[in-house]
Amino acid sequence: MAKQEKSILCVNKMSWVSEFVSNALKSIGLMDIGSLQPYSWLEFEPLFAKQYVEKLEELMQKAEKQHISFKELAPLWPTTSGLRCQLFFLFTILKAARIGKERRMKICNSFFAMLQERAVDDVHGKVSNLTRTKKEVKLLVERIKPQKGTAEIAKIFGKISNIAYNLIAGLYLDIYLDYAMENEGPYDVSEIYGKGHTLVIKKYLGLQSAVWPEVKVPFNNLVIYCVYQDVKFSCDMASCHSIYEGNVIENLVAFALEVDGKIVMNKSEIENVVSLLEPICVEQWTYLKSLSLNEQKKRGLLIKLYGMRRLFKKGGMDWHPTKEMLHAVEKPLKESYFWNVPKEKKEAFWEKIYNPKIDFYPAS
Amino acid sequence: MKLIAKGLGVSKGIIKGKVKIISDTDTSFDEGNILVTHITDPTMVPMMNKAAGIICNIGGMTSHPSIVSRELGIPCIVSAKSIELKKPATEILKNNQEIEIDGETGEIYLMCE
Repeated sequence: MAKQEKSILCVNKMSWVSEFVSNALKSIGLMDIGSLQPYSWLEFEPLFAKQYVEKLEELMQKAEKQHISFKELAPLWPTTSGLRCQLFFLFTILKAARIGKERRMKICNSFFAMLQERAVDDVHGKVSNLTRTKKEVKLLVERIKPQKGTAEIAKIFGKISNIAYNLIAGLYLDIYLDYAMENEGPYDVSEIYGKGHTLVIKKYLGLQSAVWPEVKVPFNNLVIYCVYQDVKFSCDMASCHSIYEGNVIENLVAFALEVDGKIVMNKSEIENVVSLLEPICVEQWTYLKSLSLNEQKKRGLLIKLYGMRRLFKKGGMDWHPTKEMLHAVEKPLKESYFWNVPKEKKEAFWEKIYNPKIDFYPAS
Repeated sequence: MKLIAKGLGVSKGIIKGKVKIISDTDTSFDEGNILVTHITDPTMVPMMNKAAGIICNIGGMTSHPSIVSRELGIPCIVSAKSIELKKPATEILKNNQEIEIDGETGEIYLMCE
């Protein structure tokens, strides 16, 4: 308990909120949410905001009673990027739940404390997603023993990334994609490979999701390790928003593929991942789109909580939604009128909505 | 070559190829075609994996086609509109037209017909 209180105190002193909100606005806070499928978080999450906040507060109380620290809870999130995005989603869900500033800040501070435990640098995810120390990266490279990269392998990895990204969009929806897809890096590996070499890790996790028991995926986790020369990688708070400067095909100097913990280097085995996953990716999206909106909302709620299942388990709680939550998502999606504000006023408007310290949320 | 459309270049590279506009009824796609659509979705993954480049009517730097084209290492232009009338790419481009696209400047050129 002492450790937990110390973390919250630390976080408050840092007054992290303004910096996080400002970065979130640049990253995803002002993006065009109209193209998100099958719905945006702003339409969906307010439906179950009250019940979700109650569940979170119950988890926090149980964690406090059991003296579970943020350090113990942080690794239970599937990805660092997923935790970062969930903290961002909290900003609107807490406002929609119509709870006071003190309660909002307590929950937000807890999430940020866990984020601090996971990120080794650039906690806000301004330009990178760094979760490993230099020593851990060195040990990782020793374990996976990357082989010499070629343009041919880089092209196959491009296809796997495309397939896995889109499969995850079907399994986790656009809004919860970061639970299952994470880019990590850039890690400087110049001490191992020479000047100008960086390691980027592309993770596609939890493909065999309990939310979709009817969908059979042959692997649960795929991780692609790419060592590039003269390629600059960056991302924003959602690490799937990757940007590369430099040629990712010609400049792949070393690689490894990990499938459910097994390192795969053989070209035909790597190609096999493409042929196995490609049809499933198309089928899953077609299946998702064929479901009724009510079923899509129910699955969305399940995904939201499934991503936190290990935290709920640690606190001795069932991760599944309550009857009240399931009932709540049967209501129509929220109207989007309140975020259609004039362009010149947009940033200030949204900053007020997102900032948990400010009592401003205009939606009905 | 004639500059016929422009958009936001989101994945670098210059490539020539034949236009293939994706519709619900026609999903045929040859290796090296340039995929043209309103916005990509996961049903287009097999085509995206064969495409030499991607053009979309809408989208930004972090939209689906932008992210995956950077992973694939192929040029991509989003929010592409005609130079004169600002019509979306799917309305001005035609199947089998030879075009050149620049994924950095966002320019789309029609090769001599």
